[in-house]
Amino acid sequence: MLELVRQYFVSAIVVASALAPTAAGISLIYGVMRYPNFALGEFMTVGGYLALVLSAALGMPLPLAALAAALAAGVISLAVDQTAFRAVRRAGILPPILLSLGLMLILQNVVRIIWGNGSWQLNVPLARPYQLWGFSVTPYQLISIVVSAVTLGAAYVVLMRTRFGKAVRALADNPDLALVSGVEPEPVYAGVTFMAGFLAAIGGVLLGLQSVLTPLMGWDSLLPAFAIAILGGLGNVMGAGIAALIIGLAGEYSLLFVQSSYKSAVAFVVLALILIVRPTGILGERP
Amino acid sequence: MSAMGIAVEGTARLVGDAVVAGYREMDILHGVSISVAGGEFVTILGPNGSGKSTLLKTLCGLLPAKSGTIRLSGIDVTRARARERLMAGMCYVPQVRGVFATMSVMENLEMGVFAKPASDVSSALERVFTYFPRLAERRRQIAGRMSGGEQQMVAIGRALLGSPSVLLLDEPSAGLSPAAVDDLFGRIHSIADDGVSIVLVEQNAAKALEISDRAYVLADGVNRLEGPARMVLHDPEVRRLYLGGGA
Repeated sequence: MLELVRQYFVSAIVVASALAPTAAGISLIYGVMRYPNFALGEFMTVGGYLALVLSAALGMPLPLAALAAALAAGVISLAVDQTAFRAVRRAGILPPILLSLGLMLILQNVVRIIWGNGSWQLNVPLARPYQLWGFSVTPYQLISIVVSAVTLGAAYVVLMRTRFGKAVRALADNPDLALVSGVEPEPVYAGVTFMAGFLAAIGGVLLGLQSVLTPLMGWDSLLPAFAIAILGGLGNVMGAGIAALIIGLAGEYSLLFVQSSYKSAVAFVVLALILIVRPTGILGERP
Repeated sequence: MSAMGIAVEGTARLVGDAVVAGYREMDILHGVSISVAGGEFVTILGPNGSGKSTLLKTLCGLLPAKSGTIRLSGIDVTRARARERLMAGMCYVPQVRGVFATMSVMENLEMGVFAKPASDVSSALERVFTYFPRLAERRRQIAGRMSGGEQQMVAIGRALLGSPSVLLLDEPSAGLSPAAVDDLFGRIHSIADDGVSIVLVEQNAAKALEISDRAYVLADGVNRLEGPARMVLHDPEVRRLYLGGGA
């Protein structure tokens, strides 16, 4: 039993590490631009497959391939924002939602057309699990946790310590006041969409590292990522990290009591219960 | 417009001339004119929906003027964006949500010079802390968790940090206790004494008129009355409409 409790703890953190960056991206875009971007799950898929191509076909070392894939995903995200989304900037919440749904379908099917419906494995050598403080962790699980934490930490530093980050927070907090304070919104929107694409792609590579790449990996992660973003407080990157842990732990530890097919349902029950107590999420401030 | 106007066009720091503005298809202002001299304290009165807030938003550049002209220190800023008007010395404090609620007091104040990243803020900061000593004690506090009066100080402090020549204040007394209003108005008055032109939109007509130099009364998006604050305060129509009876 204790062994199981320990193992679930590890898998919860590992699951959280892949979902948290995507949730942070959802959170950022919602916080600044006020629409839920349903295409971000697909940026996980795109990031994972791009890393596969760059490492397997072009022979890049995987860490470099992952970074290049995330940068490319960020650029794709930025390009779509500057064309399609920019055209509907003042049109309310519905047009960008529909655009993101359309983009989601397009990206998902482009991946299917190029790589097929089967699964792919990132090219990583076999490895034995380490024993750390009684926990059994594979090197890839450890890498996943560390990379996720470092990525989120970097995003947090960018938001809290840079001029760009201050503009992001000002626009998310109070758009009109940000405008009269001289914040230019368009460069901020551009930076935020790049960051969101980048973050989601990192999450996608981590997910691929933990299991396999499939065309539906992003779609399967979308709802949990949204649950995490909402739980963490929309607009709050650190909240996304904490919420990912909560959702991950709730899902994994539910396996002690219910069948695994109920795992994601349990995560949503936890989401609902917490939102009853804190309607703006764990770290959310906005009423 | 009216013969009662005191500010002479040539010396005016802020001029709005026949300004038409509003939202999409609906005009709220149908040609409002105001003129504010350097260091002058001007109050804008009027019933709800008369266009007071719309006037301030149009002056600061949050809303576009559909026609008319706006001049700041002699420069035509009618087509200038909010950021450019800010750089030219016009700072606006909105009626509600005047602070960045998730930021600390210090971060809020720093947002006042966001448009001028290289500027040295130490003297401006000192000035803000002289007007509002309470803010100096609460630099690290998250603005959204402060009282309404303190938030109003943060909001005005943020605007002041940009060293404005014109300060547009939209109902800073909203939601404050009478004592807090007196306190705040006293501080606003000393800001005007230091040479900053103040344009104050207020529901609290009597108190605002007591400390202003001049006042404009708007009704249905046009100028209704203007003149020295004391004369407006004793105008029978103003007394009947805004000051509760003709006592």
